[in-house]
Amino acid sequence: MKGFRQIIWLIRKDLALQFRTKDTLILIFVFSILVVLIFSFAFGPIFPDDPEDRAKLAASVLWTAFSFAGIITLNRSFDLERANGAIQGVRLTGVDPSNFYLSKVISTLVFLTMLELIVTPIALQFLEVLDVLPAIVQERLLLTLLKLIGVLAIGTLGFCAVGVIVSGISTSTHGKESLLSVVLLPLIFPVIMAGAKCSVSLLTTGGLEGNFWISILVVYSLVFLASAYLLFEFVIEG
Amino acid sequence: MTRVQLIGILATLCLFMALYFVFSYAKVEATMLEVQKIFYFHVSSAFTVFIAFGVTCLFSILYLIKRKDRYDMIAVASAELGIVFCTIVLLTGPIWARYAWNTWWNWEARLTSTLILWLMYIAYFILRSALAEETKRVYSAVLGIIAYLNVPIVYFSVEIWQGNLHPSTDTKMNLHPTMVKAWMISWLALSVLYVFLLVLRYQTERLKSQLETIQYQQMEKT
Amino acid sequence: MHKSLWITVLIIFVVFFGLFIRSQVPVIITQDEVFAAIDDAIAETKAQVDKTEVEQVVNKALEKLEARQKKRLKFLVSAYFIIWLIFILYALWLGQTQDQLRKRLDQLEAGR
Repeated sequence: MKGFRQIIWLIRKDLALQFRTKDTLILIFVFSILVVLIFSFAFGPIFPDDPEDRAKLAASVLWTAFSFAGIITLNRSFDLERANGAIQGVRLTGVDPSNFYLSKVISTLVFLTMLELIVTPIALQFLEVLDVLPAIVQERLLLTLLKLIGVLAIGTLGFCAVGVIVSGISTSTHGKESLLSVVLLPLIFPVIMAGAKCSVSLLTTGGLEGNFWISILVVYSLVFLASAYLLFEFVIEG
Repeated sequence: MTRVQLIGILATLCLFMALYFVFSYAKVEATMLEVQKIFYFHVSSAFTVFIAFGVTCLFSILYLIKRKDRYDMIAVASAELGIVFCTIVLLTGPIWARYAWNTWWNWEARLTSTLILWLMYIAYFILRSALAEETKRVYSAVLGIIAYLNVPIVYFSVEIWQGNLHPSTDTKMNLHPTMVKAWMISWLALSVLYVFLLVLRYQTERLKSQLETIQYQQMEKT
Repeated sequence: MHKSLWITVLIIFVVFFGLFIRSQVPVIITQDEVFAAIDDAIAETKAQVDKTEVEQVVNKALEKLEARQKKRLKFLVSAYFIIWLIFILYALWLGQTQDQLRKRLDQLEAGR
């Protein structure tokens, strides 16, 4: 029970820090919109007419935007911890490293899911996908969008499971924050692939029937949550 | 003659034996003809890659438990060798692809996942070189474990993402007995070579740390 | 010890490989042999064919076969050459690094 309370407090601390200044939120919101804009301009001349192709394009753009936004968020969040030895301060209060990890994963997940909630409809509109969705999806548009957010959240969970531990390592190199993207992107390859496949399936058929990619997302998240949960104490001690 | 040199000579002999078995002993395959002989070293290298990164993972775990610098040195040495063998897979793969499918790179499943693997461990070294002295051993051990956990997931998902162009496992069953023998011997040769290079690389790492200790002591004096 | 040893290994490899390539190049079939074989074959099967035409076709086919094999061998040779080059360059580089490190160590030991 004590561990649970610790986690809740740490999450509240993280979210309070993020929302008090709001600069990270604004930064990654603008950043994601910019990524979507750049892609829709870049693909402008060769924008596919076929709804299915457009759904594929939208899915890949969404996942690209959110991966990069996630990397920025993780970098910022751990910079805060490393600055002025805040991480040592938290450790001195007797917090279990594994609980610290879990709280970090959950707070980043909540933060990024909120971003996805706002950006996804805007991005789909910008990429002109919403109007050409097949009738079967149009009928249950809200449900499909919710499912899409759900898939994005599961993917983000996998992303955070690995991302938190890797950014815990990479932010210890002072002034070399760009390392996180080099280390993290190859590691989250399965998440991006599986997530994009699920999103395409949702946007074209409205469901995930016979789609085992969602299970890859879940397995990936579980494997890395468990292993990083065990390994995180070594990252904190340094 | 030192033990290392002995292993080196053994590795060289094994390699020449493997070459003999690959080129003269094994039957020429029916569809790819002579080009199929790339297969023996290509696939054996790929197997050695898994062993090398597996050794990295194993010794990373050992390091985290026992905290002996020796284990960290073995893990790093093995990871670098994994990259060397991975490079061989990535370079011979396109040569095969060029002949079989008339293209250098076609995002064929296993080649793609090998590329991701290669990038993952290159990142391991980039990160290691950027880390501070007191944290780098623990952190690279953590990364070594996480990266290896990712290997099966990457292979599985890329395999399903692509339709598989690779000669799949069932065609390997059709290999002529002489081919299987040549393949096994190539694998044995590459494993011995791996051990030899691992010892060499481990020695280098030890020399480096010795040098660092002495330099550190001298700095303390002045 | 390293450099000369590795260069020897490379040379042995090249020689070995050269021997293999020579053994793979098809036995040079002379024009006369082709003609004689075609004569025999026509006589045995008692086929009603134009002999000169058949000779031309067979020659063309042989040329094609040889060219294709040459192409295949090119792929094979480049693959194995790359493999050996990487191994030997890597081992050479390792040996060189070790030599340098040993030299530095000796200097430092002597300085103390």
